[in-house]
Amino acid sequence: MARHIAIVEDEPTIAANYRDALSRQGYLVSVYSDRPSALRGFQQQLPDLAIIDVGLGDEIEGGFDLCRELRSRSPELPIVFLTARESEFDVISGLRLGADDYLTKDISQAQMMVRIVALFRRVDALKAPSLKEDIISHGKLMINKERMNTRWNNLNIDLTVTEFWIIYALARHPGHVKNRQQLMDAANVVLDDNTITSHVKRIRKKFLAVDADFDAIETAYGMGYRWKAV
Amino acid sequence: MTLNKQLLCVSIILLCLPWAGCQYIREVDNIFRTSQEQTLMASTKAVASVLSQQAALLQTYNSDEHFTPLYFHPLASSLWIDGYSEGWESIPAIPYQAAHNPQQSVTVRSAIHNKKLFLYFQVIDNNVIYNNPAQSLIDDGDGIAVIAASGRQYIFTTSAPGNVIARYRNETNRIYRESKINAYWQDTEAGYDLEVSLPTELAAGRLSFYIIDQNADNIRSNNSEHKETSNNHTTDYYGPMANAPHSRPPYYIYQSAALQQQLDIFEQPGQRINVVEPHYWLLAKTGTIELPKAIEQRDTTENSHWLIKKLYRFLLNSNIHLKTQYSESTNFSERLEVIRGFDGHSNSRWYKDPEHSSQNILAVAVPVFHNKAEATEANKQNIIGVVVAEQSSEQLAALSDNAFNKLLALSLGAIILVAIALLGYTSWLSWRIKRLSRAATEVLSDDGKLLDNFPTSRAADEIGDLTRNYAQLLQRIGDYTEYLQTLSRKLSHELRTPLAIIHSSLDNLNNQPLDPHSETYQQRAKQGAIRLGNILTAMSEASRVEASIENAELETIDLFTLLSGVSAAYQDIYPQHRINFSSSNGFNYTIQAVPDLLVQMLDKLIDNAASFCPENGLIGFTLSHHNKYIEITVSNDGPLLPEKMRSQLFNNMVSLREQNKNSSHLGLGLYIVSLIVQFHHGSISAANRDDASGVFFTIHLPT
Repeated sequence: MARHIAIVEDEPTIAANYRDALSRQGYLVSVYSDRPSALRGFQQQLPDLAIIDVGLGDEIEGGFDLCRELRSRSPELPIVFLTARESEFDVISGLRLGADDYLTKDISQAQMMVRIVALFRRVDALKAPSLKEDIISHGKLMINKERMNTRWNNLNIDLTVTEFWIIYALARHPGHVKNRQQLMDAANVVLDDNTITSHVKRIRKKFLAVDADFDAIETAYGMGYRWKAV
Repeated sequence: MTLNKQLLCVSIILLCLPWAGCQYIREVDNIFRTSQEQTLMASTKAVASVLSQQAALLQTYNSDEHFTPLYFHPLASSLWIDGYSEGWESIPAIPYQAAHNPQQSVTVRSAIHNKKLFLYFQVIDNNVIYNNPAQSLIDDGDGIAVIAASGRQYIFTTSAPGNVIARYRNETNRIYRESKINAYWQDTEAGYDLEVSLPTELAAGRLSFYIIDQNADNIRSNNSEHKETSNNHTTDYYGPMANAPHSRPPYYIYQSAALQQQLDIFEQPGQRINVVEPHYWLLAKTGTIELPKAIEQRDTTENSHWLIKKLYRFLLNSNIHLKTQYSESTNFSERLEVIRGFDGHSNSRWYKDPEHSSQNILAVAVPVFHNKAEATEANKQNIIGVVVAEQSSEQLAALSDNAFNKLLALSLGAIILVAIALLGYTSWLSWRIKRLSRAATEVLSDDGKLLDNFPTSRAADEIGDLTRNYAQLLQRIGDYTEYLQTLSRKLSHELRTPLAIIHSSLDNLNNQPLDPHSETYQQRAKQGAIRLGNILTAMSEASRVEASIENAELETIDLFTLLSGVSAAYQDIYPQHRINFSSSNGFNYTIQAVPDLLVQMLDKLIDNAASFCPENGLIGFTLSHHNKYIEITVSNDGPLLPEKMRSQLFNNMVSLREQNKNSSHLGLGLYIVSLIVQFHHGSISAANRDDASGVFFTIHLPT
């Protein structure tokens, strides 16, 4: 059965473009142009994944409200923000509401597809634990690639898809410096250096939240980052 | 010229106030002068009219026209009759020339004291012939004849120097000696001196004399006035009465006590009244020109400071220029006002005071007419005297001192008040303008940003308006600048959605079967869209740095580690340039900083350096420790910086790059660098290398 993806986007051309692209991949796509119509649609049936714009018509933060409501109804539903707003503040607000990823609109379709696939795979992995699990364990860190699950000191770290891929790229080869470009490739994003920096900063904060002594991600000035070899 | 200096220049105009005051004082002084003249004239006329009622006191002196009268000067004390000139020094001598012989002459001095007349003859005679008593007691030898009112001729001849006996002939031609007369003969080098004293009752109001000059030889002078020949002698006569020895001698003139008494009634302090007879001799005087010391003292101390007094006199003195100096004399023949007085004119005249250079003396002359005569000019033969009143200008000056004092004090006070008020007012104005100017300067920070510190003014005047207009202008400029600064961010935000449309459309197109041409175009469109995306990212980079600065947290980092790591990494990234890092060893380079921001700063600097540096050129990093700061320099071999843009280099949207370069530069790189440096409380500057081989940026970060 085809998976159902909901796009909430007030710009009809973009919505149509994404619908076309996703349909081509065999997904069932519903497009809503504002929050009320999206809510009505979700009341009838929850989608398998929601791609939401932050600004919806007159409601400049309608996407955040929608995300909050969706999350309250389904804790498992993957939610991706796709927006032109790229300020640090918006990113943090969006992720705090429980979104699985926060993408800016200049992301390419290919990168978006990879994310969608990854998110569905995680959902599947959570539903039916497969026997063959790809687990990286290093010191206190344990990464389950299939489930896109990260644990530190046996505590769950809630990471976005982008963040997960960055951690995964770093932790797979502890001690090796990964430069920003490598991390971008791993995370399937084309971002400027600053964004990688702020991603790494957020990742650190998330680890620090569970372990105040966390210092496993080291900065190699001018080059990139590396996972501290134990 | 600053406002204050201009103000000073303008306030010099205030000095015309004292000038105007001085003009006014002079005018007042002129009026005072005129009024002093009039007052003195009036009082003098009163004296003259009183005297004309008592003409008897005066008229006698006018009766003789033929002979010049003798004037007997008053003497303070009696004289010792010894033929010497002691006691006569102050009395003017009147010379008489002998007509027959220019070498013969006599000067006579006459004085009166206590009803005694004194005469002192100085005869110049190269051949003095003494009296030979054997010949005659009177008619032989040189001598002097003094003629009294009675017509008696007292003849003084002597056979030897010493006491001389006065002899006369009575009606019967017999010779008598007059014992009331004292005389003394003294020989001199030039001739002889004769000193005579006789009681006034002998003279009886009239007196004159002539000189008897006997010549020893037989040579007769043809032009002798009056000759007598006896034996082998010739005798010449000269002197006032020489031609008419038997006529009545003229009245002699002296200062009469009766007239003096009459005048004393009119005496006033500071005023001298003289009565002059027609031969210009002084008959009586009363009072002194000098003010009584007591009055003067009082005026000086009470009314005026000596300096002010002096200044006042100086001012007034320059008002009138007098040539004639006053001189006191018993003879008034030199005094023009007296001469005019005898012509029948009442008139006045100013003289310089010889004793007080700053003072003048006013003299008023009024003729005295015979009591029955009409006081007209045509009647001048009836003028029996002139009353001359003299007064010092000091009297008037002392009076007007007070006025001057007050004027000076008032105008000085007014000037000071006005000057202080004006200076204060204009200083206040210029202070306000200065403050406005300073505020206008300070409102622009060093890095060219408008600060929000422009003062508001509630003053209702033009400066207040100017301040408000300025504030409004700055507000508008500020708004506009802010709009410009946020424009890139807003623009990038607004452009992102249409760009996303292009991107997603192109991505969709990618999944359609396309002919090779269309595919090429699709690829090109994609490339263009990506580039556009990069531009938008760059445009919003500054605002993202500003945002991340707001959230930045300081860490303790070692700059040496950071820089060495970074420079090593840069060598990989920019293999076409030589990248060199050097530092002075042995210092502690740890500072409180945000490493990510510092790296970003260095990224921008090396990116900038690499874009200017020619291939295989050197890009150098140095790190050095100074007293209060750590210095980082980034230098490259690129083209030099133009001088004019040096200070704007770190501003937003300023780019010195040539426009034909392919890459998109918005002039944000160095602006971001300066943002980061400012966040770390550091400073940044750019300069050309001394040897003009390249450019270097210097960053100071406080330790």
